Amino acid sequence: MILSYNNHNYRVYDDNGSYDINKVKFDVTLSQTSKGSYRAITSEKSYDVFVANDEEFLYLFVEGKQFTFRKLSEDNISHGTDALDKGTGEIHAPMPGSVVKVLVKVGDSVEVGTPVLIIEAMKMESTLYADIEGVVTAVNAIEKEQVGTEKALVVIEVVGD
Amino acid sequence: MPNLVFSGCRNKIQGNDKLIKKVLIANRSEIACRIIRSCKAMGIETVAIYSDADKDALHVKSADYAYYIGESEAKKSYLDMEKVIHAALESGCDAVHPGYGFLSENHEFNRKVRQSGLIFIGPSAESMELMGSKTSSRTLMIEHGIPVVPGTFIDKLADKEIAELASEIGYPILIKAAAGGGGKGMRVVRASNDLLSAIESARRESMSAFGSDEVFIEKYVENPRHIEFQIAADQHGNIVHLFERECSIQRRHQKIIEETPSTALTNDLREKMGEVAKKVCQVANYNNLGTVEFLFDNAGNFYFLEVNARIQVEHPITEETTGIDLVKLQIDIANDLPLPFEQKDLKQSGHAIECRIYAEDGDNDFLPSSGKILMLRVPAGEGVRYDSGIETDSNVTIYYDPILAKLIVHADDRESARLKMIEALKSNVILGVKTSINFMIACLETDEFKSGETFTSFIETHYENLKNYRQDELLNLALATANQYLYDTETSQIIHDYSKSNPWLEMGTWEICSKYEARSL
Repeated sequence: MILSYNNHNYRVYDDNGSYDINKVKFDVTLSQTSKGSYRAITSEKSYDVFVANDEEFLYLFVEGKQFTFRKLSEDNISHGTDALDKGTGEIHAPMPGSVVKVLVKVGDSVEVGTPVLIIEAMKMESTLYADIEGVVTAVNAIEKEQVGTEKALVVIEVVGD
Repeated sequence: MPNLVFSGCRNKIQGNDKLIKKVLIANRSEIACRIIRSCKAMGIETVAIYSDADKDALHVKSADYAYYIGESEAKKSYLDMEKVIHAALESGCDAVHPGYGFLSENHEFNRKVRQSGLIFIGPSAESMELMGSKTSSRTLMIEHGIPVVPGTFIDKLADKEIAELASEIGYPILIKAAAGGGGKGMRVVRASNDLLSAIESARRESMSAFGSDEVFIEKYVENPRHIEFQIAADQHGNIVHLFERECSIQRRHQKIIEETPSTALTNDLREKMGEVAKKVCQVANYNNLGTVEFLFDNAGNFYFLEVNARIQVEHPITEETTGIDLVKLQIDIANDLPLPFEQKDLKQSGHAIECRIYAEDGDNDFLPSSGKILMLRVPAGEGVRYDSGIETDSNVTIYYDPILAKLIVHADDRESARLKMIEALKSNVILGVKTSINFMIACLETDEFKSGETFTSFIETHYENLKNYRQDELLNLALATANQYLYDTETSQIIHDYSKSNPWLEMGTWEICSKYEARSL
C-alpha cells in the first residue's frame, strides 16, 4: 500500500514477515497485543507501537514520537504530487480559526513570503504568507470570519508578461 | 452576646457551618478537574460550567453538578462575568474558584463575585488590581526598593513618543500585555521598524485573550532564566514562601517544562529571593496563594517581573516537593483560616519536573492542533502524576488554550526525575491530535538540560536540532505497523461480517448422531 507522510510517499509491502519500504528491506516482527496496540521486535530492540485511524488519517505513536499517515491509492499519486513541493498560489488556513486581518487586496503584487493574512486559533495569531510570486486575484476572507482549511482565502496568480 | 471580636479565634467561633460547602469552578480542562479533586477531598461540592464546545468535556463529568453558560467562544461563556456569577448563585454555591487564565486575574470579576455575596477563592480585589496591572505593581516595587527591569507603559502615547521611549530603553524591546500572562500578547522587537506593527498585534491578542489591550514595553534581558517563588499569605498577616520553580524552557514565552529546585540557586540566593518575594506580597497586602516571578541573569542578578494572583499551571511541582495541597490551601485561606505552618516548617524534598502536554505540533513551530482523542494511555507508577483534562473521545477544539494535561514526576534527585520523566512521556500515548510530547523528550535528552543549562532562549537556540527527534529512526517501524494495522483492521471486518450472517443458512446439511458416533468421527 502507499502511505503519505510529510508530502513524501512510501510504498510498503508485507513480504512474509519482512517489509519492503520504497524498495528497501526492513525486518520487524509485529504482533497485535490489543486493538491498535502492537509489539514490534527488530534485531536490536522491541517497541510498543500504537495506532488509530479516522476517515482521513492513520495516527501512530512510538516512544513519544507521533506519525500521521494518509493512505493513498495509485490515483492520488498520478495527480499533482509536484504541486506539493511548489507553492500553489492558493493560501489556506493551516487549521480552523478566525480571520484577524486581511493584509492584501485584489491587484496587489506579492512575492514569496509576503504576509497576506493573519488568522487566530486557540488564542494565538499566525501569519499566512504568499507561497508564489504574482498578483492577488481573489480575497475570500473578511475580518472576524470563522474559516476552515478547505477554502482558499487568498488566491495569487503568476503574471504572464 | 459574648464579645467575639478576637480575630485569632474567628474561625473557630464561626464554626463549620460558615465554611465553604459548594464551589463553582469558573474554568475548564485540566485545572477545573484538579480543583474538583481537592474539593472532593475536602467534602466540598463542585459545580462546573461549560460552553457548547465543552458539553462532553471531562471537567463537566468530574463535577457534582454542571451548568451551561453559553456559546463556544470564550467571550460568550467562560469570560462572561455575569453568566458565571449567575451560574454560581443559581446553583447555590457559596464560593467561586477562578483557576488560571480566563477571569482568574480580573479584579472586576473578583469584586463582582464578592459583591454578589460569594467568596472569591483568591486574593482581595484591591491587591489583585494592584498586582494585575504590571505597571502599577512595578511602580510599587520600585518604591520599596525591589529590583525591576527598566521599562515603561505606553498607553495613550503617540507612535512617535513610543518609538522614542523604546530607543531610550534600547533594543531588543519586549512588549507585554499589562493584563496578561502565559506569553499571550507578548512580542520581542529587535529593530525599530518592527515596533509599531508588533504593538498593534500584541494589543489585539491581549484584547482577545484578556479583554484589555493595555500593553507596556521593557528592556529585553537576553538569555535569562525564569525563576518564580510560590507564596502563601493568609488573611491574618502571615506569609511564607514555598520555594522556587524554574520555568526557563519556554516556547513563545510560554512555559512547557518546569522544575524545582532550580539548578541555578544556592541556598543563600534561594533564601534571599524568597525573602524578596515575601516582601513583594507584603507591600501589596496580598492575601492568598500567589507567584512572584523573577528574571534571573547570568551574573546572578534577579529582577521582579510580576505577581500571578492565582494558582499557576505549574503548581504541582511545588506540591510534590513540599507535600502541600495548594488548592486546599487556597480554600483554607479563603475560609479565613490561618496558615497551618511557618517558614521554618517548610522543606523542599527531592526533585520534581512538570511537562505540559499541549495539542500542538512540536515539529512545526508549535502550531496548535485540534481533533478527537482516539487513544489515550496515561503514564503511572511511583512518583508519576497526571493532571488531565482529557479522556478517550474528548474533542480538542480551536476555541481555547491547547493544554491537554500535565505530566509531573517526583524523584530523589534531578537526574532520576529527568529519567523518570522521559520514560513517562514515552508511555503517554495520545492519538488523534498532535502533541509536544516527543519535542519535550528531545529537550530532556540534551546535554544542556542534563547539566542544568536552562535559559529562556533554550528552545529558540536548539529548535532545529530538537524538532523531528528520532523521526528517521522510527519512520520505517511506523510505516510497517501502519501497513499491518490496516491489514488487521480489514481482516477483522471480514470476520465480523461472517459473524453477522446466519449460521443456519451456512452450515449446510447436517445429521444428528449419537454421542458414540460423534466421537468416532
